Order: sequence, then C-alpha cells, then structure tokens
Amino acid sequence: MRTFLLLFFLIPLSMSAAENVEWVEKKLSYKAGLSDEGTLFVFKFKNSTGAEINVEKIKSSCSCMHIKSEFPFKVSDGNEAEIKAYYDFTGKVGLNRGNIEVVIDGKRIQLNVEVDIPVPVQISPRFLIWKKGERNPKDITVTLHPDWKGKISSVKSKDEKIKAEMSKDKDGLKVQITPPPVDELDKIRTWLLVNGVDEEGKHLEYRIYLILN
Amino acid sequence: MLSRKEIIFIVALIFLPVIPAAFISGGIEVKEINVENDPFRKSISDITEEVLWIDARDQKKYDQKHIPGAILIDAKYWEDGLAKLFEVFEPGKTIVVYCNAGCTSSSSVAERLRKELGQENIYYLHGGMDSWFSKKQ
Repeated sequence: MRTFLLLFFLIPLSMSAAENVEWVEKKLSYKAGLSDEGTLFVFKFKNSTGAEINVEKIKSSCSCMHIKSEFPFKVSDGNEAEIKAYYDFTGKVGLNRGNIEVVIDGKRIQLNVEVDIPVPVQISPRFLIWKKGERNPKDITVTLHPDWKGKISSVKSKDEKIKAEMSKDKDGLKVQITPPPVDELDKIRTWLLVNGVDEEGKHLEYRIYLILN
Repeated sequence: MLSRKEIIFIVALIFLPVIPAAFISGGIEVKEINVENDPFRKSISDITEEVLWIDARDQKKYDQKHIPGAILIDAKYWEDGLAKLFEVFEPGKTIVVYCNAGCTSSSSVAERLRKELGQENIYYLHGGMDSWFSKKQ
C-alpha cells in the first residue's frame, strides 16, 4: 500500500510539470499607430513546476514575426523568464494575427499576437465593375485617417471618355465616376489615378480599376 | 478481487493528473482565437470549383514554389499586387488566398481584398499551400 501511495503522488506531479508554467498572458494585442513599422511582444512566464524546465524551441507562424529570444534555454524552479518576438507589420493594414509555438520539455504551447494596423488612406472599392449595358455613375470613397498629415489632391482618368470628379464628403472624399453611354465605349478595362502626397511630401498614387463589360 | 481502498486509489490515479492543470489555468484567463467557425476559412477539400489562387507570401518564397496560376500579393507591395490581380480578374470568380501552413497573412490579405474589391467570395486556405500539393500527389 505504501508503494501505491507513493505512486499516487508522484505520477500526477510528473505528468502536470509542463502545465505548471504560469503565463502572464498567452495572447497579446497591440493597436498600432500610423507611423509604427513593428512592435516587440514580450510573453512573461514563471516556472512553478518544482523542477528545472527546458525551453527547447520557439517558432513563429510567419516570416513577419522574428523571434528575439535565444533558445534553447533553461529556467530554474521559481524563476521568471520571457519569450520575445518582433512583429514587422510594414505594408500590412487591418487586423493581423500571428502565432508563436513554444516547446517546453516536449510540450507545445501556442502564444497568440494580434495587431490592429490603421490605414492612412482607405479607398473603397478599388475595383469598379459595370455589367453589360449598365453605364450609370458610380462612387468610391476615399477615407483619410484623422492622424494622417498627407493630402489627396486630384483624380485623373486614363481614358478621356470616362469622367471622374472628386468632392469632399463627411468621412473624407468622394470620387464619382461616369462612363460614357454604351454605344460610345465598348468592353474595356482601364483605371484612374488618385494622386496625393504623403506626410514627407512624397508623391502618392492609387489606382482605381474599372471594368466595363 | 480488488479491495475498496485499491479501487479508490485506481480511480484517483486516473483523474488526478487533470486536477493541477485545472487549478493552474484558473488564475489566468486564456482566450484562444477561434477560427473554427470562420466562414471565410476553406479547407482544400471544400474547394471543388475553379478558383483564382492568390499567394500572400513574399517574392522569394513565391519563386521557390507556388500553386500553378497563382498570382503574388505581398501585403508589403499592395499596389503592385492589385495591378497583377487586375490583369487576370474575372468578376464574381471565387478567390482563395494561401500562404504557408500555420501562417496568418492569408486571412488578413483575404479580408483586405473583400473590402477593396467589394466581393464576398474571397477565402483563405486552411493548411496553407502544402495542403494543395498534398492533395495533388
């Protein structure tokens, strides 16, 4: 019976050792500013297993997330440690998610990051489609982020027969695109250019793609 | 025949490993991202029609290997990607965005395309590019 009692305590302890790593957060979120190009996520944890643990491997889900912690490394019982990862969100917008897989003593643990990246200039939609026989004017909206210091100045149509006019709207700008009547312009794919300057005075150019069937 | 004590011991031995884990996770609320019910996530077996494939990785990885016919839209070069998409775009045709297994850029590219194209049938591939190649083998 003594042997049984010993097993009774030892087996569960050894099985739960890997779970005994206490994470402050397993999911971290970041709301990016307009000028941000990346952020460092730091996941803190404490080893409460009663024994030394080995962080064997740290792997990120995408090439945009760079693991900044050297591995493998050991953490003594009762000590705190951290996993660092730099998320490069150059060129990304909207809600972006990523994962980090950490292997501790053979057990896989998933950590999650979430970054909300603002869009300085949101043009919607970017593709405008007219069905066969349909030639009514269509609008696109150009929404400018309130913190953005750049400027959208003009809109120019590549095809003279397609008119584009820009006006101020409550959320930013509105561009109305008017194609010619059906008999004047056959099926065509073209674009118009929305021009402006960014915060550093560099020229900006966004294409609005038009498909007339 | 087992004694009563031995039966209690065996039952305890089976259930005890879950008890510490329950206590440990009790202090910290871990909210996992649930993508299981995301209507824009498609598995390779769900794709039965002809679709337009979009590769959401970078140029280097695209050059190494990609799904035949796929066009590259690297979020870092968004405007270039849209120009390439315009060349092959067929209104209404289903678009499926992929990257590597476990990556997340396909879901954000798909989301951005839905907004900018004003089209809903734009999905991302669960399991990444490898799931397509595995199916082809």
